[in-house]
Amino acid sequence: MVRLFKKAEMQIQQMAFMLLFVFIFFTIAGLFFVMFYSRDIKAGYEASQIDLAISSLETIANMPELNCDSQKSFCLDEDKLLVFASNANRYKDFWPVSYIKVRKVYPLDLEQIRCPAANCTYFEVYNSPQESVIGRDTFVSICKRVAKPSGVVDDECYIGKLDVGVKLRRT
Amino acid sequence: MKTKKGDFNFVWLFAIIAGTAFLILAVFFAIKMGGVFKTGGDAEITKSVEILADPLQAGFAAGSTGKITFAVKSQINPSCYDGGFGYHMLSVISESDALKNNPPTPIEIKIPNKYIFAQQEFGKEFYILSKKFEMGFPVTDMLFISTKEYCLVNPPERIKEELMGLNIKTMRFQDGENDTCSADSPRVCFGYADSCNMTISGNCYDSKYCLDEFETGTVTKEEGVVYYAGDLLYGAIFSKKDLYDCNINRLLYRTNQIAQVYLDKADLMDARGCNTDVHSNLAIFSQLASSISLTQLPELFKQGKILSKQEEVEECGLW
Repeated sequence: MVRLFKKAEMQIQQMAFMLLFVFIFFTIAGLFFVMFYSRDIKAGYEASQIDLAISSLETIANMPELNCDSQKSFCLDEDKLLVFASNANRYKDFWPVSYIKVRKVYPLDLEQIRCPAANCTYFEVYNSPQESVIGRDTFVSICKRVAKPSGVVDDECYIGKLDVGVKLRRT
Repeated sequence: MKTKKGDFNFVWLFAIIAGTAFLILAVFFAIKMGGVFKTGGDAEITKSVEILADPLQAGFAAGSTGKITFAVKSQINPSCYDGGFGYHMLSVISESDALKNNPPTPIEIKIPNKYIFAQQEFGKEFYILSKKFEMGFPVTDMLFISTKEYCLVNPPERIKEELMGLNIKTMRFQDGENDTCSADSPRVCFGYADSCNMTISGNCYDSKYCLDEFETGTVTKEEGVVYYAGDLLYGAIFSKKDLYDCNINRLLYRTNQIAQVYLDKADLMDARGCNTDVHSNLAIFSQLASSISLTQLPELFKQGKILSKQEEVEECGLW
């Protein structure tokens, strides 16, 4: 009787261990699956944010708030940039990106002076304090209309870079 | 013998209980993960709709078109929130999900810089028409999304030629020359006609500022009367009144903000000898844009055109 009881007890223990191992196996497999899937989601999110940054470059460069002429693509108005650099908060709830920065890059000897200031070359249109931000940039023309001493009105242009950043990770 | 039989039953009993428990757990997690996959997929689709819409912004073209095709019948919902610049909460929901007793909450993506006028209908193919919103100066692009066919009865030549040129398949025409309408598509009548679902009454009669009678006016539909100006006509036809009104409030706010940027720019230009005479009229226009009711939209549109003509002759143009 004692021998039989021991045998049954042994089988219960075997079954309990078996169940425990199977449970642990499935838990670990599940964790790997969730990790793999969440990495996939994260990569997808990051890829779509980079797409957003690239498509935002053209959208922002051609917005009437910044562009120099609705007939010209990738041309920014220096006066409008100055208006935004003087009051970066005026559109803070509007921009679909984390930051918008513009700087003159040609002529090459230009010193980087933040606007608003005399002879400034760097415009911070918008900057939200966010971490984990990725930027994409493109070349643009930066122009302003000037009346020359002869009375002729002309555009004075520089080559610049428009830099747009998007949040890379959800926090 | 009796004991062996007992042993056999005990092992089987455990195996059956454990097996059932694992099967139930596996099915439960499979359903849960399926839901997570689907939600992820929906979010990806919504994000794609947002990004796909970017290149469709009209830019410096008069208009542009595009098409979005879904694998299953779906609906694009651009819930609109005004107040300041306002924003859309864009979501996409499939018909099968929407018909459930407890439909899942769709993933929404916030879009602050687009103005979407969409038919809230289920469909596989959605046509997107992008048009400029101008109030004297360019303000932004508007996106009109439609899946259902409309029958435009006696449209003015300007609208007919433009829509035929853009080849939008959801727009059919019925007039003296053409009749491509199907029997079950809603009838949108320009002026008086029989059996109309919507009637458009034009009130733009000043030939100095109007391209034709229907450049400004009203659209009378089931939900009531909505006022439009310029290409807002498509928004008034396609979208529900609350979505339309919300977008108009957002557009007028943005118009006012851009006018403020131009006022500041005018000061900078004045300081370096590039003077402008538009300044005072622009300030009045900005004030008007910030305070008008939606019924005064045609009047603001006319003031914008007056301002635009004044700016055109300026040597140091503002826009």
